[in-house]
Amino acid sequence: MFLYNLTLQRATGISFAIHGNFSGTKQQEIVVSRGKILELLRPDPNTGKVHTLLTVEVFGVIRSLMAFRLTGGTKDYIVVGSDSGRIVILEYQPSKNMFEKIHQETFGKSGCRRIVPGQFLAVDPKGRAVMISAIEKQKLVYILNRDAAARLTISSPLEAHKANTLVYHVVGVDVGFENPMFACLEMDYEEADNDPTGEAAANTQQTLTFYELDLGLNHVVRKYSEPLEEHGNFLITVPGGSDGPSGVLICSENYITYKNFGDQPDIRCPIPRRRNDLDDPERGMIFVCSATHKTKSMFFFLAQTEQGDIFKITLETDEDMVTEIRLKYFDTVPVAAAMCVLKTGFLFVASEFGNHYLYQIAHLGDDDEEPEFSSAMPLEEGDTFFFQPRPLKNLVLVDELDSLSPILFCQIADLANEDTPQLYVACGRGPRSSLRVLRHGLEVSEMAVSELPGNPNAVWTVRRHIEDEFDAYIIVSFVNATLVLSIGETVEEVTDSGFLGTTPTLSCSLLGDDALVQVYPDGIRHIRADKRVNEWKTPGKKTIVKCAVNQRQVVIALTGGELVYFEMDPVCYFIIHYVFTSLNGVLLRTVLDPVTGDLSDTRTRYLGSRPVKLFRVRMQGQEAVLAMSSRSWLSYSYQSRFHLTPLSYETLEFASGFASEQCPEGIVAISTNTLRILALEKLGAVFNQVAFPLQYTPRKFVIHPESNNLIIIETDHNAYTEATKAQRKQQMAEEMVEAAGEDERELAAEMAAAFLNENLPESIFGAPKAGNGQWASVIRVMNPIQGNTLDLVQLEQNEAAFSVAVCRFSNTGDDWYVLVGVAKDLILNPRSVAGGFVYTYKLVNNGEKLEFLHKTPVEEVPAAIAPFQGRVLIGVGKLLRVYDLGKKKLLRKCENKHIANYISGIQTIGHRVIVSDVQESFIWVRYKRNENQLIIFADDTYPRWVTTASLLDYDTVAGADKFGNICVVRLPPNTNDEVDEDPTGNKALWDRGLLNGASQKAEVIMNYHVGETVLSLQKTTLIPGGSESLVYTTLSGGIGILVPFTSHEDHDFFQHVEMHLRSEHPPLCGRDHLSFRSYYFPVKNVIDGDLCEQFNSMEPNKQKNVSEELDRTPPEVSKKLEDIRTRYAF
Amino acid sequence: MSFKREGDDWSQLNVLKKRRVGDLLASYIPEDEALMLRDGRFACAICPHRPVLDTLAMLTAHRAGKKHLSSLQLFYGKKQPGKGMDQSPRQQNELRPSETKAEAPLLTQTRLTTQSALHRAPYYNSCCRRKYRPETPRPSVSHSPLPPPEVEPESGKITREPMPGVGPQAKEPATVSSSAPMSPTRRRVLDHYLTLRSSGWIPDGQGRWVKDENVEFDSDEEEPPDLPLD
Repeated sequence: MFLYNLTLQRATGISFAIHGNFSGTKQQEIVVSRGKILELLRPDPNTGKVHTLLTVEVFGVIRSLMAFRLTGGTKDYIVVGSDSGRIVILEYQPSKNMFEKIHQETFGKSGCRRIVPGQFLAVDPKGRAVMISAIEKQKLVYILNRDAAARLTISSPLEAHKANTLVYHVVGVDVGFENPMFACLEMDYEEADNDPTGEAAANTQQTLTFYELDLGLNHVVRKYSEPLEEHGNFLITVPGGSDGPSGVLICSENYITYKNFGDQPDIRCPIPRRRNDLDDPERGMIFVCSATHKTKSMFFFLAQTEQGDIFKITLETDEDMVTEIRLKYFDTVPVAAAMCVLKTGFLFVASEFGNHYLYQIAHLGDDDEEPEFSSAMPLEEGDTFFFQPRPLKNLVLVDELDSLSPILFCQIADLANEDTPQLYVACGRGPRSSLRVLRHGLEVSEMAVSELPGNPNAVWTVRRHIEDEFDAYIIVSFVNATLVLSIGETVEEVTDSGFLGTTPTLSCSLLGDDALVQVYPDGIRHIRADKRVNEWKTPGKKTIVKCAVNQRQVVIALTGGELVYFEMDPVCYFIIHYVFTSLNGVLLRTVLDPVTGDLSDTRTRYLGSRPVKLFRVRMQGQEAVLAMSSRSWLSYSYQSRFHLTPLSYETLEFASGFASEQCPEGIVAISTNTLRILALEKLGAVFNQVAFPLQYTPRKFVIHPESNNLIIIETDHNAYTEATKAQRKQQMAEEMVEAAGEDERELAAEMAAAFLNENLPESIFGAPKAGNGQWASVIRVMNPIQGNTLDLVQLEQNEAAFSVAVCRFSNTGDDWYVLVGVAKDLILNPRSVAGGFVYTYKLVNNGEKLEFLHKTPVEEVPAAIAPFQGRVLIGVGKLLRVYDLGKKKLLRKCENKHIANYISGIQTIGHRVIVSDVQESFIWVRYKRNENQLIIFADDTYPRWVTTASLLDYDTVAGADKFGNICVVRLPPNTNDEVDEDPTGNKALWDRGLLNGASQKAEVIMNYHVGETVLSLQKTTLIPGGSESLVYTTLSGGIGILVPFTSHEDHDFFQHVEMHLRSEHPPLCGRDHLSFRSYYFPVKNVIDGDLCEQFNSMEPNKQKNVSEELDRTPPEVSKKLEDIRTRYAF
Repeated sequence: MSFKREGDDWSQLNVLKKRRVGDLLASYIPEDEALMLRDGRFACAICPHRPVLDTLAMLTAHRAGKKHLSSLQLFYGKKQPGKGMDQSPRQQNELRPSETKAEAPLLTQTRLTTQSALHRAPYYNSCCRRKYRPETPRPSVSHSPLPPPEVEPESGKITREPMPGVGPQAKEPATVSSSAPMSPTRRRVLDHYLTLRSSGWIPDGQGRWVKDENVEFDSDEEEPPDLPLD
């Protein structure tokens, strides 16, 4: 079996975001890293929409990202620290739309290792040096400069190593043009390591260390080191030189501290906390990320706490001495992994989980009633400031980027009866989680819908002048009339346009520079800019049946088979690169040679049951084709790949491009008796999504096969249930009243009432953090089409649902039951559990309501449940048990105690049970009905930390592990299920050891490193009539498929493509592709389609070289790449 | 690390070769004459004391032993009492070539054995396999509704002796013939038997059912459910 890996949707979670002028123009762009993907985003300052310009998969783990600019330069470069053991400097080339690798310097082994640099990057704010640091010991400094031709040069590395030292964060200190300086949060553990009493370990302090790069001596010195009182988690550089006082801000638990050299005393300010917070008051508060805004005259920092509250931090100075830190509550946004403040006044928030946001900073929060907290205000040690969180005041949301990350679970089924299956994806975390339904198609935003007096036949838009940016008229043709609408602030009907309104229109267009032409059945009307009208009438009784119009020519077909050709001045020649034709619902795309007129490289796609109509539109400044059959499709080029994507919208009949001030790249279309103005904003997205909010992190769900309802279990750690929350709130309100003095009683009661009524949405402000070992869970029955909750069962505080199954029992007939495995008082580290329960519910009301039946106590966490031969198999910790439905509880009927660690999943087929262990891969168990025994008969030879598994056939299982690998293992054909327990009875003596694996072993069919933790696997078909593929979803929000090759030729071809690309187009961040795909297990029998598809983004001469090696032409290669994708997916 | 053999020690190589061939030939042991245990060891199903042997080689050595051979006679004498002269499939195999060709019995025999040792298909597949033994008349069931316990409708494959304590009539091997399909009543009885076994009831040998102490039952469940009537 050979498989081909294809990514359907790339990861959407963001790990780093940096901003700068990467294309060298005035416009600021954002570069984000999504684990193994580097992406360039450009927020449009006019519309506020974020466009993706470039996405590159780097086949390595991006561990740090920094932007830097040489002194006096105007263009920012990107420095990437990765697991490649190399430092890579990239430059964005706007003309080619690609990242170019300028420097790649090797310094160590590959992989994410303790002492190989790559984890932290810091640049000198003046762009003279960059420091790359490991988690421990090693730090290297590279000096950056220009050569005579103004090209960027990089020096050999200077070492700043210190053994036995852990690094927490590194920043470049802004010292103006003095020697570059780097500040480091470090901890020296040497003493603690050598002291067996543990006393030194308890007293070890974190230090703030400054490293100076002496440019004269070409040497790095450890300049100064100072122990810190609090344990810091990150550093913020304070502008220096002529812009500010220099130094660093240390963010630590509960405090933010300013430090600098010389006489500067430390300035320390507590981090304010929310008033009347339900959180544990003893819990420390930290800042998690920050952004700096600096102009010529001022600077400030925005820092976000782990609750999502953003504070604006300013520094008061007195002659270059900082005297005061001031904090002011700014706004609350979802907790971010990174934030960027752009010069245009936008704040980009890359959320830790869920969708990312672009906000406009409407106010700087300078002149409002919001209290400002200052380090100069006297406070007791341990006391802090309080503030009241509120809805957005200074920020205005302008754009939202969908992100599925994290995907916890996914099932693919056609529950909505749409022919094409939908993906039901449980994603998000905590109160921001959601169930999303993904359908293949482009999301359409409706800008306007207006009813028309009748059913129109066609619609066009025309500009008034060739140089106009926007369209002037919309022309709508009816059976016997034509309606002309003018486009301005609003769209209104006009009669003075010069168009003939009393007849239907066949076509209209701009003619020449500023004239318009209208073709109607009885003639052609030429309308000049000054509204003078020339008319040509058809001779006799002939009418025009068809026409073709461009800016200079008009061709008409008359009844009776006559063609008439009109032209303006000498025809200027016109190149069409592609010719699209349509036949009975099939779209053909073919290349027209402008010289010879040959047609070549034809690609066909079936679009729908109706004949296809084609319309030319513009999308992101490029030509695109809208094709309309029973479904509408858009064919466009996006990041050097052709996309043909259906629109997720109702059937349209006719369309035309539309450009106005409000909507520069829209579509005007007609559908029955309505005129619609549509915009397609999410180009490049394969799926359009509908999201239904959930309360806690969804863990799993099952589909009730009769009603198609979903039964979802949602569980959060460090959370309160609704009941506990209400109780705590009540308690706090009472305390408030009690604490007040006699005369304040009334006021306190009022405040308490206000507090009880206050309701901040948890999806924005976060849920209160209840502390370690506190769990909250719900079981939800949901209609996946409407998204409405049909039933909701709240579990008690500290009951955590981990598994769910819907099944029937053979002893109870046709009733459906829902079983939920719940852990009680689970503490994750050090692990302890008070036991568990299996809740049994009966599904009543056509699968809409859960009726509680009973609760079965078990000893450990029931982490997996699977229906099995009219009963259920439950994995209770490491015990595999068969349970039957009893009257007062589930009855344990059979047990196997030989699973190694913890059962994380159960699959069944026939008498076989395939158990996935959390650490020890798969174990095949046979149930012997005759003896009522579960006997292990085979297992795997590799230790895989299985997260999910899917059966491919009777002998074959596909599984994924937490390190991001997918494998397929198969039992050899001569495997014997009929193994027996030892009949001599001395098994207790011999079978006790855990190393005593099964005698029969599975064979590895395929191994592949995806690079993101895979949490769901399913064998399914994604397109109607397509072949089956293995679909996986990843924690970072990616969706991919593995498809089998159907012929040896194909396999051979793609193997060669992959081989050539590995050498001709090596990954961007310096990691070797083969070794990345073999990160944990040597890659076996899988060809990486993501690498093969990079063929399209290679330079043309390299494309030619590679395709010549393959005895083909570049279009043939890219056609093959497209074919294999469309055969299985989109 | 490499598993490639190093050196040119021919005697060692020959030892290995011999062991390999021995392994290949040893695997030609009728399935019902040995049990494969879940830890990869083997138990001899012929000898009444069920000796457990660590490797195939040891099992082969055991099978050549005097004790085993005498048990073998006893076993087949008991297993198919009606057929008297019947031999084990292996003995039959050994017999056949000598009947057909007497000139080079050893050669023929070796060839046959190697053929079957290297023969890789059709493979064992528990999913679709149905192997039935020729029908023997079943003694009438006297006082108990118990069918023989070894029948599994899905696999139909029997490699075990019945469990001790099962009634004498259960000692009979499964007697389902592929030519005569099971009657519905019989199938129901069988199903019922398996349902009871899998829900934790154990026949006590006197025709009654007792509860397995490791299995949970509803508190009001004193007697096993009766055979469902339809």
